[in-house]
Amino acid sequence: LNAVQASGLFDAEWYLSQHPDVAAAKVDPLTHYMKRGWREGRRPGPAFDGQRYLALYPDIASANINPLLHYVRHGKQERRSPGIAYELISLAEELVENLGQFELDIAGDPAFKHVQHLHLASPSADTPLTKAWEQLFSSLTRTYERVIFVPWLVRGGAELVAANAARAVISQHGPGSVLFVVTDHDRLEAIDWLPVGCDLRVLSEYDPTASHEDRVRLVELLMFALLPKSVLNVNSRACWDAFKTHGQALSNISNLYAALFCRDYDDAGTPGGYAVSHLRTCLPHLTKLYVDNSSFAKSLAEHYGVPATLHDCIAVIRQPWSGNAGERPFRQHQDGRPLPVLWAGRFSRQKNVDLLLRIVEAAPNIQFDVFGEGTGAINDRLIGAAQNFDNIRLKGPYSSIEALPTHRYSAFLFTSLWEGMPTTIINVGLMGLPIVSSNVGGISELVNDDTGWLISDLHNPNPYIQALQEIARDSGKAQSKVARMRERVRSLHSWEAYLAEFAKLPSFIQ
Amino acid sequence: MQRVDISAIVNAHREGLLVKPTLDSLSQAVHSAREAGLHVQILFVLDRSDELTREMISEFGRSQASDFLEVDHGDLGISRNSGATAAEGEYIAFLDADDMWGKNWLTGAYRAASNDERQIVWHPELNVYFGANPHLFKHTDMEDPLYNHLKLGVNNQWTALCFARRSLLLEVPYSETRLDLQIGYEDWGWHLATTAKGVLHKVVLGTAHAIRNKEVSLVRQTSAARCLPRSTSLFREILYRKNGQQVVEQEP
Repeated sequence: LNAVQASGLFDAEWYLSQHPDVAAAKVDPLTHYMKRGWREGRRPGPAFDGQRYLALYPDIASANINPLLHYVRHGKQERRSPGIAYELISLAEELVENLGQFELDIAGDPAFKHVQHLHLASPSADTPLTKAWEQLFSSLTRTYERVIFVPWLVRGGAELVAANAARAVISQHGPGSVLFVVTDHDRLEAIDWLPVGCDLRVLSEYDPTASHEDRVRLVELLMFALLPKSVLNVNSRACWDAFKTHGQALSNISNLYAALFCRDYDDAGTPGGYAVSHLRTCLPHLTKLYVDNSSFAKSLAEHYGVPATLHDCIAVIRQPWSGNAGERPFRQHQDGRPLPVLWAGRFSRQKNVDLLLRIVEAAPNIQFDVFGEGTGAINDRLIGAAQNFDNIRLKGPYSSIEALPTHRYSAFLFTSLWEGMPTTIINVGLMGLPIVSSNVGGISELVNDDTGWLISDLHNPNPYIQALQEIARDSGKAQSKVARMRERVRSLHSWEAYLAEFAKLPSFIQ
Repeated sequence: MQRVDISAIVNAHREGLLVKPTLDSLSQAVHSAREAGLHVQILFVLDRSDELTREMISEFGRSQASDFLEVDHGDLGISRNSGATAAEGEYIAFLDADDMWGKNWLTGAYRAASNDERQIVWHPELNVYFGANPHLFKHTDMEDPLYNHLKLGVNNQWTALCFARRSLLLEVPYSETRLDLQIGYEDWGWHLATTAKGVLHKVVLGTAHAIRNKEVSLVRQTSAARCLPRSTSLFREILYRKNGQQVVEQEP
């Protein structure tokens, strides 16, 4: 009784005025309601409608529970609706009766016989979206002219591209000039990649269970509220979907930029990724699409028949090498000892771990140290191989390629099935380790016969093994290729070259 | 010339026979207002109307003094602007030609408006949606603790059938709907624009409208065209104020 009384939803005076039989019986109104009134469908006060509550929630109705007691004890916390206020019902009933005389769609609609059972919409009611939006907006202390959207912050190439873009903005406009928004997941392993002065927001912090639709709306709301000059989407699914649905509307607000690196492929080899699912709809609304290699730009333009007027819309910006990727010697091969080879990457289909394993099996005189991590069947195969073969060692996850002891190796083996321009190749090229790589994506723009060993047969271990054996045999040749690669990386992938290319108008950073 | 307190502006397009109940509700509300001593102008704005709609409205004009304005906008917001420009009243009350006012709307809104000097757009407390998907829709007063501006970014908070000073409508007119540019929801955009100017949106307690929910409505077309409302500096200004910065920028 105390809880019901404290709720303020039982109004004794009102109860007696609405139920004259109770008043006449001279019984305590609250006791009457708690014992009988609720069973008889009586309203305890103007702000609680027990009949509607039971009609809305059959689980409570079937349990034969006093609706007000349930609301006070549980329903309020469970965000159930206490019913339509009495004044509103009276107002609706009066309107229906009055206007029903003019409009048969009102007078003749059985829905209006019980106005109190109609759905009551209220745009100011809290929803998970409004609550997340209010928290997100309240967390902002300033406006931003540039916003970068990413799906997560794992240690991947795309995240590095986004972090570089943030650094470029800050170098031009100072600290606090860019907002970095993590939209799809809450993984933040690479948070240390963000430059000082880059403000970060993670949508999951405002609603960890937010639906994808709500995340898309939060992206749109951020743009609608901040009116940034430019936004850059680096693989954010929420942002790509916002661009796809409201691309024209959003391009009225901001200049829209996106970055893509390559197509993805599923197990059946079918191409996918945003380049396939979103780009054709979105490209006309983009101020520019940034790609990190010419091969992909050319392939997109050809594949989609992009007309000349949109060619300038696809810009190649070569990513800079990492600040930690200083020049280092590589290990000269010593006769009679196995050639030490470095392989590093995610254990995934894209990185073609299966080819690596066939190379390992076919080349017992080469020692493979494998850095990285993964899950599932590919991971299991690697663990099995490490148990069965002496020439492969799993060395565990790594934070960046520059952090690895590359000077202990004589060659870097790269087996990917698809790529853009991997920053790993750029950094290994600068550090100075002979590179044997599959010929995919934009890799041939760095690795060629002058600068390394480029293998076009993606599924045959033999050419890879032959290349590694050549490195073992001819260290002079390896030395000169490494030197030419360094020169090439220096001319194409410096921070200055990156910044100059990025600043070309229209530009996300200008 | 007699002072006009309220111009009741009916925006018509091709509503045809659905105009009849609208006109009945208009008559009733205007009659109540006149009984209360108010001077009310009835002004029809016909935007690319068809013959049937024009005939229905002309017929009404034979029994009640009315003004008529034919426009060729194909745009509800711009038609409302034309109505406001041509109107003579101190206040404007908008009615779309297939919706209905409650009997006490004009008297209640006028009383509330004339008792409050602030710049205010008035809305009814409740809307009864009829036709497809009957339901109730409760308006929230901006001064209600449940309201905040951020909610106005997420959802439109009020219907278009508002009551406001004519001078405000001339100062902040409705924007054009551009489905090709995905700019729609002219009323939502206007609510954002007026709010950015510091105008309050309040409800008149005890008043209600009936809104026809059509299978194919303007709102549904706008939603199908994947529109957003016209952008506003409202939220940037909130951040500027939070940051102690001076607001210097123009409306985008």
